[in-house]
Amino acid sequence: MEQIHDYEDACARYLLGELSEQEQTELEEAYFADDSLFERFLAVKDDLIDAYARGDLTGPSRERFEQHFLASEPRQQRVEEARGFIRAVTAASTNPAAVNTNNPAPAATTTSWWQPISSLFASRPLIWQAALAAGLLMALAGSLLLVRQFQSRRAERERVQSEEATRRKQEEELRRAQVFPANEDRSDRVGNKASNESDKRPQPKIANNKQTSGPVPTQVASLVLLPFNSRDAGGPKSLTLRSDTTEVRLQLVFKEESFSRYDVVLRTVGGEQVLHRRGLKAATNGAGKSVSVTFDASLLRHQDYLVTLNGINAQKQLEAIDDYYFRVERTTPQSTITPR
Amino acid sequence: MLRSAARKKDWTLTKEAFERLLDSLDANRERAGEKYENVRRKLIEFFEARGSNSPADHADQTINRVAKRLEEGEGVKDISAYSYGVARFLLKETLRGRGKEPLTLDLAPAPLIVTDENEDERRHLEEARLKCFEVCLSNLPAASRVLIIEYYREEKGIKIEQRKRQADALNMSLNALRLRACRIRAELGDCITSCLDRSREDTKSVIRH
Repeated sequence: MEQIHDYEDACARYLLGELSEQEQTELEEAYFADDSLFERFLAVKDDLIDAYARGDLTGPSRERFEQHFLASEPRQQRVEEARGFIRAVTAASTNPAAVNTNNPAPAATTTSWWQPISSLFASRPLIWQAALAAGLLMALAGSLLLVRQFQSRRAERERVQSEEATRRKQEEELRRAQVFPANEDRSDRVGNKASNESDKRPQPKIANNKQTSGPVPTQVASLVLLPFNSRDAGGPKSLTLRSDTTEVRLQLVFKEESFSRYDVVLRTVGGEQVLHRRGLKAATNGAGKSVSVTFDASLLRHQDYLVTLNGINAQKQLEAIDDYYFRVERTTPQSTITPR
Repeated sequence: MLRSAARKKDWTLTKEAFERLLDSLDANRERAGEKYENVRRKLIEFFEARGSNSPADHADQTINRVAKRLEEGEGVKDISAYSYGVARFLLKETLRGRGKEPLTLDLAPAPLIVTDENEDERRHLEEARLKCFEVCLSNLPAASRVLIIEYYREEKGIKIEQRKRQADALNMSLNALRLRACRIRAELGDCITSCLDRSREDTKSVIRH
């Protein structure tokens, strides 16, 4: 049993780049020789990616994951796929109609999982039939519950899509207004809790605070950030995340710079790296440029964060462009926002 | 799937050489195909773990070299172990070519992918993927479907604890549950890939007409 545990542990350390060359070779030889060990290796890898995608990986493991595991582009893609997979599974768990009725070959679906089950009854002794019947009843009860949830979920999804479109439009307007704000008081435009302040620091746009009831599938909290000005003494602006906020979108506004790609690093004020996105492109509007990055809200805790925007020059070297500063406040959907 | 072996870098894989490779893996052609895919997957994982940005290409180069050795008459008892040895040589050659050790994220050159480049295209692909996911999920046996949803769905609380409870409820160890979930997910992944390919073909066909 201990050996089994050792192997899973070794796989995880291998994936995080923590094994010596000799240990790596031993592990590789083992999984090349034994298909079942390879399967276990794949399962550990899936779990590791899954944990990272959920934000469950913390501390040094998270750091190692980002520095080593995410070093290659195929692996970065795997993480993105894992996030999509988790979202899709979560949606499907409350959406049986999507699972069962969107099938292009409904007849095949009907026969694929009902017929084998019914055939079990025909060929099993009575005790097995009773056990199977009990199991099926439980599954049926669960399905009925899920069907009931589906209707409300579909309505919520439509509402969220509509809100998302509105949010994007507002965000675009806000961005246009904020690109050259040097002598402007934007407090009336932002509509955030710090509405009496007149400053040039990032202004959060709290899309998720508009929600009034019930959990929704995809809640995006969006924040338009202007470069941090160390002379501003008022502290960072806040991004309020509700417990049902699933994604955060940061839009980093900056003055005209000519780079083909950009690199964004998100860190806690304590220096712990939370996110590193590379190869991003800037969007340009009439007044300037911005780089956007979207990630799981679960990566953010209730604390202050620093964002560094770098440009990647023709020699593929990083050039610092700007730093951005914001605070995350986590709250429940029912809680009241208290102005700082 | 097998066509990926036709990719070449150093040497052209002939049909005969590939047939010989399959024969070396198993006398039964279907099983040989499965074993081939398995070796290739292991090679991809190996190159990926060792910092390759083109693990699939490196895996195919390795297989080409193995096929070449077989064609030259080299007796190979265990193709999988032999492939691993060849892969290690290829890795060394590649590193020597780079003149440095595998790069870490902070030092690596910017990847070519652009995540925010085309929002519409990304959304379209995401929608197609989701649709395929739903179709493929519905085609899974009911028990597999319930297992995978329970295993991966987002819930409040610590996921590992929930998985332990799931394993207990299914009367299996956590490792066994993990393996089963991984297997089902791989199956689902293959189905989604095929579905997306079909979807792309359909789109092309509509555009053509």
